[in-house]
Order: sequence, then C-alpha cells, then structure tokens
Amino acid sequence: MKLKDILLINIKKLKTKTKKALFLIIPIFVLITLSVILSSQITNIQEAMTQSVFGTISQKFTLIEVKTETTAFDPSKAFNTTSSVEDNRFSALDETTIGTIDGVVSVSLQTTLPVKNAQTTDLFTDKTVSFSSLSTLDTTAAAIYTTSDFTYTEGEAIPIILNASALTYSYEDWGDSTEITMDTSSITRGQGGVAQRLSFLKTEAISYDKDSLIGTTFTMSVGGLDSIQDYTMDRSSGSMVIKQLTDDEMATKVSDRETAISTYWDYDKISTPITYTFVVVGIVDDNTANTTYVPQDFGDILVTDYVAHEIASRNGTDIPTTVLNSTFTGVTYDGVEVKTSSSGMMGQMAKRMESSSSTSGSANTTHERPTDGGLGLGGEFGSTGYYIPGLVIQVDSSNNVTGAVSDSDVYATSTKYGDYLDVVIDNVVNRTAVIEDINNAGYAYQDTDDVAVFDKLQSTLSTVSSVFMISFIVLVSALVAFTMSKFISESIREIGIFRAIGMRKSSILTMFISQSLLYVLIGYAVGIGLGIALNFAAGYLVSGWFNTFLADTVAKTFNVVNTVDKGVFFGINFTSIGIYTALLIGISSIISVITSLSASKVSPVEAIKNE
Amino acid sequence: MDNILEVKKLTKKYKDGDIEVTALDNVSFSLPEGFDLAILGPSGSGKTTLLQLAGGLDTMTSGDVIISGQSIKNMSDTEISDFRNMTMGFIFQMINLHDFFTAKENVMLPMLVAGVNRLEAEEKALKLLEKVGLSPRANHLPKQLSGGEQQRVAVARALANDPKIIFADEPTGKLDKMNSKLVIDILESLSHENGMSVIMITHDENIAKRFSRVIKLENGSVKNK
Ligand SMILES: Nc1ncnc2c1ncn2[C@@H]1O[C@H](COP(=O)(O)OP(=O)(O)O)[C@@H](O)[C@H]1O
Ligand SMILES: [Mg+2]
Repeated sequence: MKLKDILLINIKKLKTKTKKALFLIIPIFVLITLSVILSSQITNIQEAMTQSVFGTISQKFTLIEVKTETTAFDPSKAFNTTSSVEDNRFSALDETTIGTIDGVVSVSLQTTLPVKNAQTTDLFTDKTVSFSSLSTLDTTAAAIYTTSDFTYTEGEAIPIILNASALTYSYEDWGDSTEITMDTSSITRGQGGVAQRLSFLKTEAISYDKDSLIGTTFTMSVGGLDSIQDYTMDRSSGSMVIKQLTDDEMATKVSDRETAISTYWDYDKISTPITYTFVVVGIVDDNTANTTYVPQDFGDILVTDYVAHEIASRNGTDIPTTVLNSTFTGVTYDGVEVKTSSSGMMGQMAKRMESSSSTSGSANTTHERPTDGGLGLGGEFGSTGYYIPGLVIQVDSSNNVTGAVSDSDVYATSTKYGDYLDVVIDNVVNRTAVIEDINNAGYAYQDTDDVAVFDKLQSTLSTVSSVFMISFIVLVSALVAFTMSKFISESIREIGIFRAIGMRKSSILTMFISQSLLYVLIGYAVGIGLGIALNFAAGYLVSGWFNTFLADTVAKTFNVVNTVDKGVFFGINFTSIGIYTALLIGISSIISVITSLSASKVSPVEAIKNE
Repeated sequence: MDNILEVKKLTKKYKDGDIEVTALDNVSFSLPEGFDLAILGPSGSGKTTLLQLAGGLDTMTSGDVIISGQSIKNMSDTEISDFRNMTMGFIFQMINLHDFFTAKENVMLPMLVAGVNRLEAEEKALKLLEKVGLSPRANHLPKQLSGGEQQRVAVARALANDPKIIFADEPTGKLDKMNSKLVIDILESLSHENGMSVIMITHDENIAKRFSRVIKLENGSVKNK
C-alpha cells in the first residue's frame, strides 16, 4: 500500500473523528504553547535581570576577589613602628595554584604599588582627590569594569579605573574648640575605633555622574612630601588630648623638616611630585577593595619613575644608615621584596586614616588647612621619620638598615606580593563551583549575600526551566502513550477489517505512527503559533510584574538598578523552541512506535468477531 | 476439474488457559471451481473457525488449506496478507465497514491496499456501487446507510480486486427477509458473473438451498455433504 494512501486514511479519520483527535491535539498544543511562553519568558526575565539588576554587576560576578585571611587585630602591634609583613599574602605561586581550577579564566595578583600621595586636583572642581591605594589590574580582570583597552601606551593618557569609595574628601572640623579630649579606653576594641574616635576628621562622598566621568582625562601627581599633621595627640592614662597647632608651631615644623631633608636632598625637587595624565575608563562602585586600578604594565613604570625621582633628587651627600628609617622613612628592600614600611596593620590603619582627600578651598566654619596628601602619618602618630617619596632603604634579612638603594629598577626586578587575587571565571553559572574549588585549594573565600541572591534567582529560574522541561517530557510521553493506546484499543475491529482485506502489518504500523505524529504535529503547529502570539501578551504581564519586582525586592538588595526596556519581554527563545520541538518529535515518535506495534499485532480474526 | 478450495484434515484447538477446546476436528472437503458452498450448523459447531482458517485469518493447529492450488499453511504474514488482498473477499456479519470512509472509499480500500492508483480505484468502486445499486450513496458514510445498504457496500468491497473466492460469515444474519434476499441475490449474480466462488455461513436453510454445495458442521466435524 502506498504511503500517501496510508496518510490519506489518517486525514479521513481526523476529519470524521475530530473530537477524538482533539484528545491528543489539544493537550499537545497547550503544552507547546506553554513551553514557548515559559521558555521565552524565563529567558526574557534573565535577560531583563542582566540588563537591570545585574547590568553593572553581573559581569562582576565573573570576578572572585580572594583576599588574604586577616589575622585578628593586635593593637600592641599597631603602634609599633614597622610591623613585619604578614606571611600569608599571595604571590605568583598562588596565581598558578588557582589558575588550574576548572572554570578559571585568569588569576592575577593585585599588587598595591609602594607609592604615596597620589592625588589629583583637576578631576573635580575645588576638590582634591587622593588615591590612597593604587593597584595594578591585568586586562582580563579589567574587562569586568571597563570595555576599553586597559594597557599602557607611551605618550597616551593612561587608562585608570576609579573606585567610587575613594571618591571622597576629608576635612577637619574642630567646631569652636582647639582641643578635644577623647576616651581611649575603648580603642583597643577594634581597629576602626581610632579613626572613628577622631571625631574632628570628617569624610564626605563626592557626588559624581558615572557616565560623564568615564572618558575624563586628568592629571595625577604622585609623590611629594606628606602634609604635616596640624594637631598633637597626647595620650595619657585612659584619655587622649588632641590639640590644634598654632600657625607658628606649624611653621616651625615645616622648616624643621626642610632643614632635615635639605641635608641630603634637593628640597624643591624632592617635594615636587611626578605627574601623569590618566583617562577614566571605568568606575568600581561595589565597595570591595578601596583601590584604584592602573594597568598592570604601568605599575613597574610608575614605581621606577618614583624611585628614580628620589635618586635624582639626592644632593650627593651620603645618607648615613643611622638616619635611614629613623629620621627618614621610605620603603624597604630586603633583596626580595619592596615593602612599604607602613605595611601590615599599621599600614592598613594608615590607609584608613588617609583614604580620602581634602578640600583645597579656604576656610569657612570648619577649620581647614591646605593639605597635600590626606592626613598622613607622621610625628606623634606612628612613625617618627620624615617620609621621603621614592626612597628605598636596603635592609638585610634581619631587617637591619644597610643603606639607600640607588638603582631605580629595584621594584621592577623585585618579587611582588599582594592581599588580593583577582580570579576571573568563564561564567557566572560556575561561580559556586569555582568558589568551592578555591576553598578546597586552601583559600578561604565566601560570597557576599548579594551574590548569593543573584545565584538564587538564577538557579530558581533555571530550576523552573528544568522542572518544566522534565514535566514536558513526562507529559508528552504519557499523553501520546495514553491517547494512542486508547485509540488503538477502540480500533481493534477496524484494524481487523484492514488486516482481513489484506493490509500488511507494516502498513498498520505506519498508519498508527503517522496518525499519532499527525495529531502531535497539528497540536505543535497550533501551539507554536498561539505560543508566539500569546508570548506578546505574556510579555506585557511579565514586564509589569518584573518592574514591581525590581522596585519592591531587587532595589532593596542592590543599589544599582537600571530600568528595563519593555521590548525585552517580547523576545522569543528560538533555541528553547528548537529543543522542545526536538523533544516532542523524539518522544512522540518513540512512544508512537511502541504503541503502534500493538496495533500491528491485532489479529484479522477481530474483524469477524460478533459482538 | 481443479478445486478452488481444498480443506485437508483441518483441526483447530483453542487454548483458554488449561482448557482446550477443539473447534474443528479433522475436517476435510473440497470445492471445485465454479461451485458455491453454504456452511450450515448449530451455534458453536465451528463454522466461523472453519471460515477463519480457510481465509487465512487465523492459524491452524494441523491440516492444510489449499486455495486455487496454493497451500496457505506456511505463508508468512505478508504473503498471506497479499494473498487475501488479491485472491479473497470477505463479508462479515455487521459493522463491516470503516466508519470514517464513505461507501466509495470503503470499496476503494482493497484496491488501494493492492497499490492501485486512486483514480482507477475510484472508477472501479463507482462501477461496483452501481452494480449493487448504491450509486447515489457513494459519498455517504456507513452510519448514513441502512444495514442492507451497508452489506451491499461490503459485497462491492469484497469484489473489488476480482477475487477467486468470497468468504461470508452470516452476512444477512441481522437483516430482515427482504434485505437478506436482496444482498444474497446481488452476491449470487455478481459472483457468477465473474466466476467467483462464494463460501457462506448461514443459519437459513432457504438461503443454503441456493448454493451448489452445502456442508453441515456439528461439534467441529462435517456431518454430511
Ligand atoms: N478465540 C476462541 N478461544 C476459545 N474458544 C473459541 C474461540 N473461538 C471459538 N471458540 C470455540 O470454538 C467453538 C466453535 O466456535 P465457532 O467457530 O465460533 O462456532 P460457530 O461459528 O459455529 O458458532 C465454540 O465452542 C467456541 O466456544
Ligand atoms: Mg459463528
């Protein structure tokens, strides 16, 4: 029998027994309609989330910033001069270890450059922004914050990624008094206590417009002498008296320093910072590390320039080892690493104290002093020496000073350590797995709640998708199996007649397989059509829901939420439709064959049986 | 003279669990070409079983059936299907037609199964329907036809591929006298016209009288010839 004639029998059956056929057609079309809408809307919601909630941060979730484990704060060490560098900081070895983890695209050591007093006066009008911490970032990690090329090109403005939390300025507010007494008994409770307790130190955020800031070119000066602290801190039992210096006292301090420095350096030269032109290519606005990023290949150049400037500023008089690291401080070099003398706990505290900038305007009600580099460290608070920018003090293995380094390449050739490892992963989806591996490799890392929320939302949607797909498979199988079995059992006599007339088993098989596929395909065609049409209606509903969700839920968790274009929700996920099509055809073919086999086994004797 | 049908020591045993029923017991007879056969016998005597085995609808326990010189005993399912399609025609008691086909399509079916093209099949179906007096009903569905009309469509269908032999199991069992007579008349005249043999099971002695040969079955055995 010709295949065409077998197919025509099915069309006849469909025409005369439409109601029966609808038992299979309708459920299939409902399922397909649902799967078109559901899979499309899930993708649309995910896309909308990417655009809104995670527009700025989703890509950041491909970055895992592993930090060295901080040891408990020990206040007794905090007030020691130069605490030794912690041993648990990362090095190139850790880059290699983490680099082997599945899903990790790149690992780069974030090294904080040993430079001081980096600041700019021309990024914001009337406000000096100080960059307390400059770190290097490789191009892969930089791609998370910027779409621009993050490499150094000689003669061009150097790309820089600012940190929103560093975009602050500080000032002193003494009120009417010139003296403040503080209770110091609570200082030991925590590191932050000191800074918080210095209530006359005020910090305010600078408001900025991200879009207009990106692309802005500015000049950054690095180095120069520290600002001189304009107050004294007198610690006695249980309290600390902070007293403003008079103008005379200040003038004395400035000239004392000038005299001391002039013995070995050209004072004007060493107090002049080196400058670079930068262009803002990105802004970090999720306060992870309080760091401003420059290209990795620029790090060595900057530090080398910085050191070279100091070497060039010497007046030829030998600097005795006795004054190095006592009268004058700088960074140290032990033959391996260039360390900031204030690294360790003291350094961290110094950064906090300094993590800001200052207004350069003149006085109003607040008492202001023109300062160059934040509040700095010096005098009574911490180290006693004058900080010489670019000075590298050679020390031996037991940390004894042996001289001043006169080779400006010292940093470029030294071994670098850092507190952060920037781990870039291939896909946000793998984040949890990679974090687990990182922890298994011996690094402690825990995601923040925000990331967990993101993960949860993502995985919930993925679960909905998978559950629906599994249900789809089960339902299609059950539907086809059930309806076809029913059709066949109701067609026993009909099959018997076909067989008695001489129709072959294979034709019966073909007839029932094609019948089931015909109904499935009709349901499919209607379902796809209706699904695509209804997807637009669903898009309206979902976009309404999504905006409510954004406002009510997401905006409370994340500070940055963009609005979403309605058009996103009208998207149709053709990939999923393709998968559902393949599943439908595959499953119904298999089930059809299985059920139709029983039809082909019906004996021709059934035709003759009298009821 | 050649035999259109030879039944040799035909035995059929049905097994229902542990119970074995011998529906046919060593039945032998032959029917020469050009002859018709009526099978009489009380209910349960094995008439339908005999027809099923002779028509290759079911498998025999032992014995042989030879139709037009060909033994059907060892034919494969495909071979016996094709053989039924080309050589035999069947008419059953009722609900004989496919309810989703019109009268014409029902008649076309054996031809389509044989691979005849639709136009040709349609033409012949219309001719056959004309012969059974149902031309105006060609495009009617079975449910739109009376019982007698349905059986006349079945007759036309049985004749579609010009078979050598037509098997009918009480085709008029559920018809009134007038319709019974009409169906038998048509079956008789058309089969004679085309030189076909009709083998029919019937209860009706009057109908049996019109057949050139009659066998009576009782408890699965032939009573007399
Ligand atoms: N499929 C079957 N399974 C078991 N027994 C059957 C089957 N078909 C028929 N029989 C038995 O075989 C015998 C003959 O039946 P049948 O050929 O239908 O008789 P008739 O057509 O003369 O009434 C009966 O006893 C009947 O019960
Ligand atoms: Mg019977």
